[in-house]
Amino acid sequence: MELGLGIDTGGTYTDAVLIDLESNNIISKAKALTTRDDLSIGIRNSLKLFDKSLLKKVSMVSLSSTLATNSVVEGKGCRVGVISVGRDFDKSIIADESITISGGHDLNGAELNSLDIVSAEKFMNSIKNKVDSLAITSYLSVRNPEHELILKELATKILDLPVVCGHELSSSLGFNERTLTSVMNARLIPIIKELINSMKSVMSEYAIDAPLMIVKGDGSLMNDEVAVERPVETVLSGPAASMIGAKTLTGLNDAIVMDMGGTTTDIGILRNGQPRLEKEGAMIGGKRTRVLAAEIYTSGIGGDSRIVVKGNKFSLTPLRVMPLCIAATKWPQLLSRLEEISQRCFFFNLESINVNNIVQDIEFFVKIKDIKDAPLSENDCKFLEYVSKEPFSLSEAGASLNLHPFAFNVSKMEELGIIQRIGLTPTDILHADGSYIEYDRKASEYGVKHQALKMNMPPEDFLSFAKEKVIEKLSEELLKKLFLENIGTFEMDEVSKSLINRAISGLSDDFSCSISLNLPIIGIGAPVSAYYPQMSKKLNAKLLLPEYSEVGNAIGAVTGSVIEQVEILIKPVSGSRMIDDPNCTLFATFGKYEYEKWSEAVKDGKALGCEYVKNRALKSGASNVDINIVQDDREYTVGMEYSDSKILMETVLTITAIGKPNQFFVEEA
Amino acid sequence: MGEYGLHYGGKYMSSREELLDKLANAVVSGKVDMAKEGAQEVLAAGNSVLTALDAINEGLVKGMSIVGDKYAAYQVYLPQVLMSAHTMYGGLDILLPAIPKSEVENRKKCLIAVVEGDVHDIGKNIVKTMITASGFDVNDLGKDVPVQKIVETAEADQTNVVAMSTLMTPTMDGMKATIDGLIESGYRSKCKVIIGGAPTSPSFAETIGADYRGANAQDAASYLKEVL
Repeated sequence: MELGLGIDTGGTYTDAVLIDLESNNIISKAKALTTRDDLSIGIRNSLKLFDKSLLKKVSMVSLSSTLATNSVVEGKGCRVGVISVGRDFDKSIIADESITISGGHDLNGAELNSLDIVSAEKFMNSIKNKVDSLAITSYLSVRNPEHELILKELATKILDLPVVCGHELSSSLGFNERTLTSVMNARLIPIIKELINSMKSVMSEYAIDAPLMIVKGDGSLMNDEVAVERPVETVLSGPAASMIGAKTLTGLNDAIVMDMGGTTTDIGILRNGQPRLEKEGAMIGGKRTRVLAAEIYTSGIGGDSRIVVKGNKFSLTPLRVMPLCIAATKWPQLLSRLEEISQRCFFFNLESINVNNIVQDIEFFVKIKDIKDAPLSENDCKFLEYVSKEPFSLSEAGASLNLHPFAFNVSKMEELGIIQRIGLTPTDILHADGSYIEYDRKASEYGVKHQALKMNMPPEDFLSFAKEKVIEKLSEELLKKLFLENIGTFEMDEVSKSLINRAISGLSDDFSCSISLNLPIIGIGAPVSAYYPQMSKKLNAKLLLPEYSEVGNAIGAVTGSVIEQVEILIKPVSGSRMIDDPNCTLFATFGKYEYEKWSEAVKDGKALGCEYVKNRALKSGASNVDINIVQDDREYTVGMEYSDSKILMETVLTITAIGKPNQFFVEEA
Repeated sequence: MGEYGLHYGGKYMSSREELLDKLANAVVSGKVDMAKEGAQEVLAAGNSVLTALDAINEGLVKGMSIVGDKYAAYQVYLPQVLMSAHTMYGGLDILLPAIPKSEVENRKKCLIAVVEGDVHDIGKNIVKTMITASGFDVNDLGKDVPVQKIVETAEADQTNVVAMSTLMTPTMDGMKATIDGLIESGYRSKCKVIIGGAPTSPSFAETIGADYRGANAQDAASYLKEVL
């Protein structure tokens, strides 16, 4: 039996699974709290829980991590130098040292200006010891990578640093996007190196002698060696791994995958066994890159979303708070206070118009971080001091400090990450009604009782009302994703809004509306069984709730494939037809070639492309590589639409190599 | 002079409506001297009667729209359109400098060119006229314009629209190349690209990633007015 070890780290928990690589059966699973400062501690803790003899049988390890994503969002990483050729890059791209020199090519791959090697060399010498990696980006390098390659060669001679070129990471047009991608990549290199090294030391502690694979943003895998060269491709890998996991667990190739986590719910669509990719390249930290990543719709509704009752109105907001049940496990003293609050009866409550600033008696705040020079008022400082040891509500703090509960800017302190808000969440709803219990159920019940009282409802009614609201919200978010995929927008006018409302809430007057989905839904995540069945019923969809779905991400990591793809552009002489077999120029990431005949270019392009992706896949740790070629001849009709004289604009070859990752190490030939 | 004319200190002044009619009629009938005279009268009458911007939009442009509609309806011939365009420019030359700077800055910008390899620019000129008449500030790069120049100028101008035309099949490719260039420079998402010319079609526009293919000058102008 060959075992694969899949690890997913970065969320609240680090999950690990052992899976039989032949049958895809799950042998064992384990989880431990993620240790954000050093992920390897959490990984080690999760592996501790496995039978040691099983770990010795592991022949492949695969890691899905949010480390790269978090680093980009938090702006972490090493110092990067940038050489920009032929054009200034956008000012929003931050480099530690940079220079713009002349050079670059035109759309036909011809040199636009000659490359200013002298300035480049001077710059390289000047940045020694000032940067940790170098990114080289040249105008239209996807049509001719010549200038980037010359500079790379020069840089490896002068500097002993990792060097990243724009054309190596993307073959798509878009100078700024490519530049951003290569700068991000350069910044991440030491971070991913550290992760891989600590992962390897954990592996050797458990005597695991097997290749280490890392999950990419499109759900495919690459080995550690390639991950160090292209770490930016691991960004956004979490949702993609979940989708591959969902596919493994259900055997379905076409489905909607919905992963409800604490903070968010990720919705993606599997087509032909692969997640659909973001056409323009992924948005990372609010900026467009050229990284291939799964097209995922992220909804702000998760298990930790905040439930508010304002006056007697219920609302579910995307703000993330700590559920009452978890807080009461951490601070047991909260329980008696919650009990007391739940017995009070209210006739009048302090409420603000803005939901974010509203005072809720069952919401508590606790200080979690010190920030120097934070712009805080005197009252805020008093408040912080008061909640520095244990959580208190605004009313409690106000009464003790002799201030009005509205005197504190809690939203601001929350945004700055100084305080953590504790409140009622969908997770508490599940605890209170007993469908999912992991923490202190009593705390959730008290919270529910209090809010139910405000809404003038018995607690049981409040529970079903709140659950219904969560289900309606999830249904709405799922439809939004489908609208986006199928129509291109989810903007709705009044009529479509009311149609959707009828379909989801079951409202009807003179007519009713029902929607049926043509794809099954695969539910992933911990509290899935509480919401998904009713949601899929509303949407007339088939629902699958696979066992082990809570570790879907780790399963996806270890059951993914190595996929490498290249796009080759063949441009004929302007205005010629396919039957003319015209002169052609071939543009590829590995160079620019001229051909006398189009047919030769296509034939040669296929051969070169196959060779290229195959080598790349083998380098990324694949075995038994399958190659797939798609030839797209883009022709246009001239003049009237009914004319049949067709001009060949360009031919695009998309060549994909796909293979399962190697088990055990392959001896180098 | 009409019966609604106003007298100021004994000197006869034309009313707002009369001035606008004069400008519109000049353009419709293609009388450039009349347009120039009307424009001078607008300036003489002063802003309290009619601003230069209103004179353009409600006078010259209105006339040009009428001509455009007539041409689209096969009621007038191309030479008449060209005469009207000439007339409109005659009036514009006088009125444009009188528009306050702040109002000029608010006008949307359009770049127009015949792509490299083609010198047929009659169609382009008509489109330019209609787009100008729709209130755009048009930068005409002329004919046989290299791709790189269109791409660079679009960015330098911070233009809102790139309009391209060609009459020949071998040069259609230049439109695709221009759009590729705009994607590379990052400007494609900041502007609308419209194309036109006999060999082009809506499906061609879609293939190359243009936003719109105008069937005629009126059509192109009304599309731009709608989306911007």
